[in-house]
Amino acid sequence: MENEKKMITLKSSDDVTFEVEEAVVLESQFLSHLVQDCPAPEHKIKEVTGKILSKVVEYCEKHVVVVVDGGDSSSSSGDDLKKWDDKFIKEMDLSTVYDLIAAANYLNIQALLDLMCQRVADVITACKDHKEIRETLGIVSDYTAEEEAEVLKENEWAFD
Amino acid sequence: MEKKLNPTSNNGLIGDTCKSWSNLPLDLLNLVFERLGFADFQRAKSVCSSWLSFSRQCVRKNHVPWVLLFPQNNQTNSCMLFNPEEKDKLYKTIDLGLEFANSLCLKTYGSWLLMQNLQLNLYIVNLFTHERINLPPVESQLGMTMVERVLDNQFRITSNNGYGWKGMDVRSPVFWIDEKTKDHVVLWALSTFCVVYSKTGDNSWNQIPQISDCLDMVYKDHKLYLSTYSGKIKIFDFSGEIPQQIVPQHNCVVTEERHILVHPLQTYPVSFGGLTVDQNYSHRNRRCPQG
Repeated sequence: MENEKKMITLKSSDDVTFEVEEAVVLESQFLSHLVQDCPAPEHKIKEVTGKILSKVVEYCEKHVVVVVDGGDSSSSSGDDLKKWDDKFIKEMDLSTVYDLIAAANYLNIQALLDLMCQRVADVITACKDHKEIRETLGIVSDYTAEEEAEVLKENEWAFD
Repeated sequence: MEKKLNPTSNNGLIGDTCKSWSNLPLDLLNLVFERLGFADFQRAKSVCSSWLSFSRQCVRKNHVPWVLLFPQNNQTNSCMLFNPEEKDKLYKTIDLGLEFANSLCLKTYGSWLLMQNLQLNLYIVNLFTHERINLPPVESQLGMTMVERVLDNQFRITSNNGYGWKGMDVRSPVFWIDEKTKDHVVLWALSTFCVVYSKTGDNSWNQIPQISDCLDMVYKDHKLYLSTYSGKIKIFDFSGEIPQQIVPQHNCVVTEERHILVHPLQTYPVSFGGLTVDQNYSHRNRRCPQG
């Protein structure tokens, strides 16, 4: 069946192109405004690299397909989507998570932003103390020894 | 609902920038922090100074109230905390001092406690940071009702018409504090004589003489809602220098659920005596959910 699906090309900062259906673009508030305001077939997203944009496109394509196929988005497709999200996240390093938070924020894709922020929150929760949080996220402490002791004293009740 | 965060806050190229979780824009860090449990949130404060300074501005929501156990014996001046969401786990606060252990907690607001010491004076203290704000001595009063400290913890109260009473009765205390600026307002009823309040920097308690029969009070969004023994509701606006009484356009009643009903179609679910106070405007429901 010949469906007249409107295709749109997205081009990353480093000129990687992605041809996607218009429905995929509509997952992003930013892009849907862009497409409405400027009906060109190709849109350059000069703030996002190809590596990150490919992840964004992958996420949006998956989420569009499930909603369209499921029609009333039945619970099984919801479960599938959740499983897919879990896998999507698990295979991702934290540096990519960081970039996807920035990209989801920039492109205004709330569900992706929520998913990524939850991932970081889960990572923090899994750490046993502040040192492990630093290690995991690669944060270099800027506290002096005295400052750190003071902050720890204030919050020491929260550690086991 | 569109929730567009500031796209221009991203400097440089996404996917190619120097990544530093300690420099994540605050609006994004907030999205992470609001997903943390309370104890994890406290732990995150110790990671770096930008997270600490941010956590002080972060307003967390959907708190399940914790159970707070006060010092029970002379061996400790710490409180124990129990989070109903984390079974089998007890947290212990820092040593809050002997005066705290000997004080009575009158009211809570977030992690702040309104305490009364053995001299019956009031102070507010933060359970975690140990920050403390001493309030004016209870006998330091501006108004027509005289309060005299007869002994260390004994008082004589004399009203303007000469009626005298012995004792100190801090009734229905309520307070509010801004986490960032530490601006605060503390209010209580001086027995049935009057309602008094003290704001940031005050050296004495200011009496509101219009209220002599206060039954209960709620402070919300710079407004004091007060019910009297005669079943009336009075509202005072505290956003200015001096509290202004607001006369509502419609009758106010207290519903059986102990919510103040200001307008038949607009309810203020404010709960008396609970730890949390919710305020939702409801244009459809005459009854409102339990606060």
